[in-house]
Amino acid sequence: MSTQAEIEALLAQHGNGAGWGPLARAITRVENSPPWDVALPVPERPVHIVGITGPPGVGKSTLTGRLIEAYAAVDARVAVLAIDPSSPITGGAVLGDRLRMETYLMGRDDVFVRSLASRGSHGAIASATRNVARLLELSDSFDVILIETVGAGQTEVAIAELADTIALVTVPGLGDAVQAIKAGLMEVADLIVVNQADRPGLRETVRHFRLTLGRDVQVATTVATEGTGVEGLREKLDERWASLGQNGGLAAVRARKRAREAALTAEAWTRALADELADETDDLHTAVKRILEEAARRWSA
Amino acid sequence: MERVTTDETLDAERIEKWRTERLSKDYERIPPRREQFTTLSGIPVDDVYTPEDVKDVDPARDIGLPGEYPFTRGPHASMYRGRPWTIRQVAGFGQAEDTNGRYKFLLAHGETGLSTDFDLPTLLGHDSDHPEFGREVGKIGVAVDTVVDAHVLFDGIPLEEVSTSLTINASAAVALAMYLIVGDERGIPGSKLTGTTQNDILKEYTAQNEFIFPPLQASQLVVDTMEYGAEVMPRFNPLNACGYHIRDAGATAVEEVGLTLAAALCYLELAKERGIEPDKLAPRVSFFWNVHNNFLEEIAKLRAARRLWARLTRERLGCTDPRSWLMRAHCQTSGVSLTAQQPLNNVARTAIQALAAVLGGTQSLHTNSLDEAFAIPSEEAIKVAVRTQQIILHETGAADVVDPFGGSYYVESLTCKIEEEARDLIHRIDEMGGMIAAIENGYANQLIADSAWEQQLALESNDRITVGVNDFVDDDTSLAGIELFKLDPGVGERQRKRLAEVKSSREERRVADALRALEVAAHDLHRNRMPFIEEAVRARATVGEICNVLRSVWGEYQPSTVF
Amino acid sequence: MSNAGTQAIKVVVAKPGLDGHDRGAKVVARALRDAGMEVVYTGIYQTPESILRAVLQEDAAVLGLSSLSGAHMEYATELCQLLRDNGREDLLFLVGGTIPEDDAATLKEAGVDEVFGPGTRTEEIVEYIRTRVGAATQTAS
Repeated sequence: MSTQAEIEALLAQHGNGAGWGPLARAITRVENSPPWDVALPVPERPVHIVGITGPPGVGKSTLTGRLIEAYAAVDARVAVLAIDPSSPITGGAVLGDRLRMETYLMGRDDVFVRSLASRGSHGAIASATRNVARLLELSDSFDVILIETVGAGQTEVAIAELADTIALVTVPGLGDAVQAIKAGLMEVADLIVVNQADRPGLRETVRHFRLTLGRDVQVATTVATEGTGVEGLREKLDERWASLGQNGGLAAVRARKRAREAALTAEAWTRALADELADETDDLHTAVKRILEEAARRWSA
Repeated sequence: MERVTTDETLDAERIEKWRTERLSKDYERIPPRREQFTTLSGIPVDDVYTPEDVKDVDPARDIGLPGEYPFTRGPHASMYRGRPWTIRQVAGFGQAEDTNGRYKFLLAHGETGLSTDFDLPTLLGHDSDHPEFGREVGKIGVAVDTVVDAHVLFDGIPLEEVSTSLTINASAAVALAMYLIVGDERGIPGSKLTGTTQNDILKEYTAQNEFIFPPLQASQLVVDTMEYGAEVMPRFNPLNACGYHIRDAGATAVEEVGLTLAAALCYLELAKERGIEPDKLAPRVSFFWNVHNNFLEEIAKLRAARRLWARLTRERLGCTDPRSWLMRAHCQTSGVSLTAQQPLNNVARTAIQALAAVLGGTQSLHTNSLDEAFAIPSEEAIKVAVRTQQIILHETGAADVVDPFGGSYYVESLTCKIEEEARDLIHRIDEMGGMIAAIENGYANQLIADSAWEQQLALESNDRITVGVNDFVDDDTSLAGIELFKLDPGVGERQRKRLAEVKSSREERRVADALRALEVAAHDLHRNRMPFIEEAVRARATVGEICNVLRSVWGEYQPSTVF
Repeated sequence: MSNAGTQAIKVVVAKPGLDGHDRGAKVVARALRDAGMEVVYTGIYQTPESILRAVLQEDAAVLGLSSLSGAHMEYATELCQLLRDNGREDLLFLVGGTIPEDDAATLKEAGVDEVFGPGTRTEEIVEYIRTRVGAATQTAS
């Protein structure tokens, strides 16, 4: 049975009330396949995909946990994808994000949380994550999908970029946390969340973002450990989703993201090919020529 | 008779000569067993130690005399020449009467102080009728829900003569109140009660995970107990700052000392912020050390810890009462060092570790039982553990002279090294903002996790040998006919029934009022909660009810996610 | 091209009930990661239901339960039942901790695949998982 057919069968099982198992197995199929081999249909009912990013230590996991509660409180069905970095040396990973969210999950049967290790290049994991999110949309079991990345840097940017809404989490103070935000991430953020808002420096931090990103940039302030401001954050996210749903806004955003996803997938494919051809390289120009010629040859084959 | 004289001095040059001429020749014939010898803290161990190694040690300033600052040689002048250390075996399982039975067994066999292990629900502020944790009732310790159980626990024990160590942390404030009230309801005034509550909540976040509330609030509760203890139970130690668990969680000897003293400083400094002078509380701070495998390192560690604490209390906290500088300690032999393979070997391990504790000057000692790797000690095994201490006391001569290792070139050198490195660690923690900060930012947990990992690697690469596990391996699992302890499965049911009876016969109004008053008091972090907890305990409120009030105000802390 | 859609053995490591001794569980998690596996460490204070949920949602091939509080029998047997009820008898179920020999035998009869006592080398656990899960993957394809 082809991967495609398998995935469809598993989704059908899940849809028939077989529970989380088949859905989880379908995700594994997607995880284990090269992203360019996964061709999922466009979901009829798009679901809001929110990327939650930011430097380490700002309380993203706690915030995600609180968001789960906030969504559940309005009877929205939540799925969470938590991406942890794989060890570049051993290929293994400790996926500790679920643990950090655990208190907010206790006793809930209705929240789906899946940990993904960032296997492979940043392009590969970004497209794999987007495909998993697509799968969750197709399952018709969720009203919002949260994607949380633990690492910082290129991988995080790539994964977050493909979400419909990118929430950049930071803390007050213009020190390390703010400086550490990669330029790429700050510019693509749709919404800034200043967590630990009870710490000194809130006003200056909000002002900094408004000066840098424009006066109209959306800013939410939260104290995730206490739950303060999270309801407001959920409302802001829902407002954005509602406004995207009007006047073809979502279609435009998704078209842009799909183009980005295509670029990342193509990049991942080419990168894997380049690694394969590595031993045969001579001068740069010749090497690049050979990679692209081989790429064209293989892709059309 | 003529004495042989020499013009030689035992200086660096002479020693170097010995190394090149004598020692290396030996190594040419017989190569050293290892490329590098280190203690379990990674401190390099040289071939031999000489006066050169202790030339910076000032005998008056650094070694001194027993019972005098800086107490390197012991907290008391006469030590075991006068009074031997207390044989204090921890015990706890089932219901209060089951543990009471074990207490009487141990006292009859010569133990001289009591120590209580509580079950997980009690330790974590839950009652025996909690819908989720029923299966844990009485399993690894005694189930105590109300002061009624505490009465049964100490039935027939003369509390004015016997001291008790209550091994409890997150809910220690409740246990402290219970002990006071048991005494009080028997007509024994608080001033006659002796013993300890472990109550070192900071090590729970890094090592044992038996916490409920966040670190700051929980530490304020510890300060409450210390302040209260100083008033109403002046001979009781409300705090027993612990290195034992940190060590068994994987830390090195240096980390054990550094993290423990940093925690003890944290409580005293929080108290100072509340306007309580350290001299008021420090005299009743006691310590609890692990005694692990490296015999000489453990002796040096106990001496280093005593000296460092004396210096910190005097110089850093400004204490002027000599009783504040004086470290009194309980020791327990390392549980994690015992093996499931060839368990009879554990008797030897425990004996050697216990000897280190005695030579290091402990005031109280628990020796583990050989079946430790499997279950709660059986009567036979715990008896051997008690006898081990009695053999050390009466047959080895180790207790007949105070601090026999004092002046040893190696042990004095190692004592200095441990003190220095522990001091550095405390300094690093200070720079982060103190022990609570070091917990919240993951530093302490990462330190311990990395040490634990390092030890695992050493074991698996056979760099360190554990006899019976990675060398001298065989199929022997013999326990010499000892039958493992098995808990009566009916314990949970019986305890729930008793709890229901207590609840039905108490005055609900009084309980409700007490809990409400506690809730109000919990909102002001600098307010002492103990009088309210005491009233609630008197009214027969349960451990769970009291802790739930505090949970509702302070919240619960999430476990560390550090690897 | 082979390495672009990679696979890894997914393991859930869990501690049920109130037992907080996590040194062993964390050391094992670290060792499995170093052996190239993906480890979902659920942490302490887990219930059988939350452990089951993690196993199902993460599509784990292996479950490692760590227990040093004497309640291993109740938790492990309950989990065996839950796994059967949810169609996951195929899961490789390992238990570690202070488990007496008699109890280990009873656990295996109830459906636990292997019991690893104190002093077990992590490489033994890694090998065991590789052999058993590897074999399962092979028969499936």
